[in-house]
Amino acid sequence: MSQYGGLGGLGGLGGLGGLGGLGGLGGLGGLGASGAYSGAVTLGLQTTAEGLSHLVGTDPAAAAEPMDFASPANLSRWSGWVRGSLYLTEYAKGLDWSANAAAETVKIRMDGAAMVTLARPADTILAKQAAIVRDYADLRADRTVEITSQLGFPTEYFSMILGLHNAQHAKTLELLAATQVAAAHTAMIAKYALSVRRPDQVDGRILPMIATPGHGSFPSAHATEAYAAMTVLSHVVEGWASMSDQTTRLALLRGLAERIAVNRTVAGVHFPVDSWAGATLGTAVGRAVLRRCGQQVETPSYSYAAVHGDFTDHAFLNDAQANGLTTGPEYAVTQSPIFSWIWDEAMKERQGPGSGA
Amino acid sequence: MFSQRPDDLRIDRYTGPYERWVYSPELGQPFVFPSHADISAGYFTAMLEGGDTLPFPAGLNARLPPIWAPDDVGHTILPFAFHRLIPHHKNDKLDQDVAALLKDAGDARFRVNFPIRPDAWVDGYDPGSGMEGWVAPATPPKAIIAVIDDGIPFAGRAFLGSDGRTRISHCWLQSAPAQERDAVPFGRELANAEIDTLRASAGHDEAEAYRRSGTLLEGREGRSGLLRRTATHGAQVLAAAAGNGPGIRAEPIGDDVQIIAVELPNAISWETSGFGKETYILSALHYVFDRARRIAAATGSDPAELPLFVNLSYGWNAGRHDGGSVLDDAIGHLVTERRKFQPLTQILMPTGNEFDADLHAHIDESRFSNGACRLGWQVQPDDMTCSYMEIWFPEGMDPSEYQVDLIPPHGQLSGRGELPVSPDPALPDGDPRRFVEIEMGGRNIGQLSADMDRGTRWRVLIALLPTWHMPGQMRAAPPGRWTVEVSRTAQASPLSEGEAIRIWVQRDDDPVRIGTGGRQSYLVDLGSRPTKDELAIYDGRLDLVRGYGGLSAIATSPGVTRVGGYESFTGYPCRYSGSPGISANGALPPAVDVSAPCDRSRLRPGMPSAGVFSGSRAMLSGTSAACPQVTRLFALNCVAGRDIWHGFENRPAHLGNSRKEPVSPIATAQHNSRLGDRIAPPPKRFLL
Repeated sequence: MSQYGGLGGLGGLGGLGGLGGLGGLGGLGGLGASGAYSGAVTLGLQTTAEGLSHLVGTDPAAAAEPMDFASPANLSRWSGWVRGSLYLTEYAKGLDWSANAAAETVKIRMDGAAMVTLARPADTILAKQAAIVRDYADLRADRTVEITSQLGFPTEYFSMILGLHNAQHAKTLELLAATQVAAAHTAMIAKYALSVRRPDQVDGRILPMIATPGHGSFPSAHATEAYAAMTVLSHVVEGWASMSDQTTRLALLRGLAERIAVNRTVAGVHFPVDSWAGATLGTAVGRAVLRRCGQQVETPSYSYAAVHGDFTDHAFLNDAQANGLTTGPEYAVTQSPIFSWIWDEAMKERQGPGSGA
Repeated sequence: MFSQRPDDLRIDRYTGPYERWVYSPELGQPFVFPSHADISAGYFTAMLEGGDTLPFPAGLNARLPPIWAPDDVGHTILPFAFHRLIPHHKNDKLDQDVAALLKDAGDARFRVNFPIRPDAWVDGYDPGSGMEGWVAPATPPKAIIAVIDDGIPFAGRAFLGSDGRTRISHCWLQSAPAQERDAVPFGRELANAEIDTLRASAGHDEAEAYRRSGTLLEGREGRSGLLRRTATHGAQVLAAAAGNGPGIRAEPIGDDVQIIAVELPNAISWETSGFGKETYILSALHYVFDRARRIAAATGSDPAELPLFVNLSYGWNAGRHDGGSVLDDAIGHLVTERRKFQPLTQILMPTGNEFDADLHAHIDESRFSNGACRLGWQVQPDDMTCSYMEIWFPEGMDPSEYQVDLIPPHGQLSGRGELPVSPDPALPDGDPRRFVEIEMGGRNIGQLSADMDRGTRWRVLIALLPTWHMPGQMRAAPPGRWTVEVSRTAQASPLSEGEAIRIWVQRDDDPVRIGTGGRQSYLVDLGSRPTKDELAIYDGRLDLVRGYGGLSAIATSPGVTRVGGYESFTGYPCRYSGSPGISANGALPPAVDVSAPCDRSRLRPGMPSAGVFSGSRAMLSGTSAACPQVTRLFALNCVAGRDIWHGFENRPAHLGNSRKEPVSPIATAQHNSRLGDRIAPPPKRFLL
């Protein structure tokens, strides 16, 4: 269960049911034991301590050499959940938002500039979207296993495509987890502000196959996380430049992000427009994370005002404007030494001559 | 209560029992069509029998699909489609439309079949444009494989030639949204260059290609959606018959075999009677034959027809089973005529999967006691589709001294539950027939009918409503054990030696998961029967309710090659594999021609095949899995210049079975009828 262990460190977040998805922090490997030992060990240690104490004197302790101050060089020493807290705060320190009640939009800013603006979809659009959700229910029998194993972060699915393993790619997985957490938190802001009913709260015939989550429908956090993860991992793969079939991997990553998003529609908990909003937001979050890592990726801002239709990655790439997605000015994102460290560590996990992996 | 109608509009004056049931609002109509079927728009398929031209009444836009008719080949049975130009906005006038249409039929018989979705009607139907969007394949074809099925993954890599172009020469999506102009009367046709263009424009994203073709639309009830699934029946069958690549453990098909595919509407699986599907199927066969001829002409083939192997892995239970149905005749005629041009013309169909389902009874003289024979009909609760039973009297027999009685599981019928098997003098025109409504508490819950099918053979049809209460409907049939009694007067002549009254229950389940909510009813032998030996393959008995004779009702034409199924590990016939009838004297025609593997063993069901998207795999079970293997072997043999039966073995004299299967004449007949004449080799990468 170490996959979920990191959560303990995030304290109060444990209460946020949906953030069970934050289990991805478990990917922050090396979750060494801390806190209480078992009673027997504790007692054994104490009797041992008392049994050994006569061997040494009672002089004061000598001063030791301090570690580097506030230095990323120390990051590798800390427990994964500690770095998890640092990634989250490093990302979120530039995160801000405002809601426009008249326009029913939420504007999410990064380091002071607009990153994504989402408009609340009209009730009439949601009513039409419900028909597509009912339509997708046809695939429930096919996708049940995927859907129920993607309730948390679907890290294993990304690992499958890139051949990631904890022993070889611990830091890449940590970067992935940090990205997914950043995306989840950002999505919750928009969900809170826009307060959109879930499909089964619009149409009683949806009858979802999993519990309706305790947050709004729009945007889809799964889509946000999947598209953020895909954006970051794609850049990692390009940074590694070690995969001879890089084009294939990138195509599979895109396909997976789409499939994870669509699976939520199959399950009956998301409208296709939720996936549109989530893919938009996730793409922006992924790029913001990359900029925090010091990567020079383009960061156009986005505005999305839902147009009724299905969600596909093909349309997201090729037909965005007709579907209500427009591009605006770039937003700047400052580099973070913490994120730069994890990026550099992930880059070391490239496979190839001299990689030692 | 069946309404009285003006004499010139009485639907029962002009129609057969299924039409009357299906198109009468106070009978089956509200329950027969899925809610999405916009029948009020007035687009229908239909069948003409006994004439070679369409008498088009005023107000009717009728059209023939592509018809294969080279030289002077004529047809007395023709599929067609029509549109009532003055649509009714209320379904309750539909029966009158149908009656008015049929009234004009003259001597010919019309059968109105399943409706066509309005958006699938091609306004600019141009039958002559069938080769537009087609380019000649680099390798001239030596043979053609055709597959008629659901969910056809026409963009799949399994069907590409070595040059990267699709080997699917033509594909007719019968219920896809129409283009403005097309060479098919409804749905959409894709020729090979159009498929290649779709593939290219969608990149590697096959879902996008299907979306652009209109096959992935909203509204799963009836269409769409199927190609999003991991696997469809059609994807598995098409891959097994003509695909190459992952999941397909057979010799590759070369560039010298072209493919024609037809995707049937999902909606035709909805209706459980079977009656409404014939036009779609016969249209598909004509289309395949026509396009095959055009391909031969365009590629300079001599003779004018290429070897053609058509796989139709589809079927239903109830019907004449004597090779004399409308579809039997039409298929037999097509095959006979085409073989004059090209002897290598085969239509292959599976024998069905209902052997063990208790859907067939065989009543010979010995079953009558005190002039009557009773058996149970177990109708399941929560069945959302109509249940149908057909009782067929021997051809040429006059059963006017016979009667069929229907007794409900509880309560009693408020109307008459009895039906003399004789003409109703009040219905003088057309085939002799008689109708009785089945009513409980004053409400209609079914229809009893007797009709002389095609003027040659008496049939009794029992139609029952769903047992589930449809919202807004007070009518539903009670579930439970109904009793059907066939009785006769003392004056009636007994059944002679070899004659039998045969009963078939129609298929009423949902094998491809389209959400019909159907639950299969079945027959019950009310007498005492010996305990079944679950391990015995052949029981050597002739029970009243028996799988022998439960062959698929559309695989009965003399022109059809019938394919049964065996377990590849043991060589035993699969428990469900449909079988022709037997008597004490041996197997009855039509025989199973060949068996092929459709399970690896009883514990490992299914044979490997491919799913919808390229690279996906799926297991296909049932005789539908057996049939395409034979289709493929025929084509491989053909292009290699061998006899099509090369590599097949003769049926073994006995099973290789450590048990002592009985060797009585009946057991021998059972063995012969189930496995058929030949055995196809297992589908590994074997060299022929």
